[in-house]
Amino acid sequence: MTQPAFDADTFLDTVAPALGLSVAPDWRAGVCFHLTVTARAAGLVLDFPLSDEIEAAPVFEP
Amino acid sequence: MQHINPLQGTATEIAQMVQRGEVSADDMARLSLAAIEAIDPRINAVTDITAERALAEAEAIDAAHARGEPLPPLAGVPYAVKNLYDIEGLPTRAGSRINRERPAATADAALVSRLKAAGALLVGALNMGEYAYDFTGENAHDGACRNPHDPARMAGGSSSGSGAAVAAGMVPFALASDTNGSIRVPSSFCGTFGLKPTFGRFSRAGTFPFVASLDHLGPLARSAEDLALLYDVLAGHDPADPASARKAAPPVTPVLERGAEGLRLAIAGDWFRRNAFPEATAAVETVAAALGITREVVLPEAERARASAYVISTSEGAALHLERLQTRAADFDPDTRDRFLAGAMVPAAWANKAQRFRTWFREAVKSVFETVDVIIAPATPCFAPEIGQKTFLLDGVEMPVRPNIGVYTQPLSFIGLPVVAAPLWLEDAGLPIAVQVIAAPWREDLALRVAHELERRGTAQAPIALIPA
Repeated sequence: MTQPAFDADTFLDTVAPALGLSVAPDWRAGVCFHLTVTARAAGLVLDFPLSDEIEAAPVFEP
Repeated sequence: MQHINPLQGTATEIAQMVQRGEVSADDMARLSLAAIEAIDPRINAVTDITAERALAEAEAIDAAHARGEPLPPLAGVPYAVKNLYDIEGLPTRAGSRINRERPAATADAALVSRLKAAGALLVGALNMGEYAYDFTGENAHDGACRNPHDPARMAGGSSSGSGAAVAAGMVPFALASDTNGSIRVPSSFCGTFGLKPTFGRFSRAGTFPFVASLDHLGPLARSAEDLALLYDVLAGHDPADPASARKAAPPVTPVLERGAEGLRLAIAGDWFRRNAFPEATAAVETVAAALGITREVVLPEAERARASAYVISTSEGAALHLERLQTRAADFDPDTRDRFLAGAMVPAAWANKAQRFRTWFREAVKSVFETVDVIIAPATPCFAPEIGQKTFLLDGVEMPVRPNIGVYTQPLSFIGLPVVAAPLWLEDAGLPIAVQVIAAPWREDLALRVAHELERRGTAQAPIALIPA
């Protein structure tokens, strides 16, 4: 599916406090910029169909 | 080649001179320490000088030589390491302010131990982008590392000091790390050879991680022959690194002279032809002409691979620092803080999909390597930008410099392919730029053979910089 529009400001205001992160006013524009860039990159990945059988390849071997 | 100053030799040449008794290990340690003292104030590549250790290691080599004992392969060769490698007695700062409060390391990193056993002399630790989240070589705490070929320009990151120290002739080789391009980018900007081996090939034990699922270690040097020698010393399984592979690593030095003979070569198309400045295109075309390459192959969905590496890096990299971001965000370098804060908020589903795509991409690229042995691609989209430059034009679109220098390196490290960066000096160019010589997993031998061929033909070269006073 097409990914929903990403609103970095709303996302930041919701998620940062939940994670205990304080974003100073001077940092906000930079953090929102990188959130937007990351969301765009994630959109490319999320839009690519993968079969349910394709697993990640974790290195951990018990 | 004979050099007036033996420090200007390659690691291979220096080791041979020491073996023959033409210079002592003590000579080499002192020459390297003197070069650092004379040159580094203009370059800022070195953050810690380990003079006492280097001289003690040299003394042990010279004593063994005097007793007539056979010398190990790197006896008397000075080197330095990116400051995310543990060095016994020093805190491992990893380019950060926060980490220098850590206690001193109680043991050397695994690769430093291997080099010590091989007789190399550790002269210092090297500047890097904070926590390795960087392609520029800028660092708010230690100052920007400068490009020896033009000190107004970036050395490239995050292994900035490794590229600069080698290009400036302070050491013949250095160790570094590469998660998304951090060996290949400084190799391109500083004009050194660099090896990012297959993921799992070199032990990462005793180094400070950036993104554990993508981190690689490797060397930078001034010849492909040196990279082969270092590969032969450094490769091998280590149970102390969970990602270390149990794979045989036959020595590459004995097969290096085979060069490109009999290999199926191709240029990387599609994604690797987009976003390039003229110099990146010219570098690939120069290599294609030198090796007679007419074929082009496509690594499918490379753009998505790059996006996946981006999402994993920011998410996993930031997760490692969550507590530090919660309590000490102001102590981060402003250029990495914003990225780490954003990365800490990435939803797990995004990163997980990216990890699953890694499996898909690995299989797709494996199919490509059924019909080709070595692929050539640009290492960086451009020559080294000026220090402080924030944006550049990629295919006519203004983009931030810092995250986009790695457009060509990221898709490859994403699936752990071995890559050699081979530096070129284009006609009338005042700066170097590298190509990536890419092989299938575990075939470092093929990438090193082709890089050696380029060096033998004079297409690739890594001259020491003439640094303005």
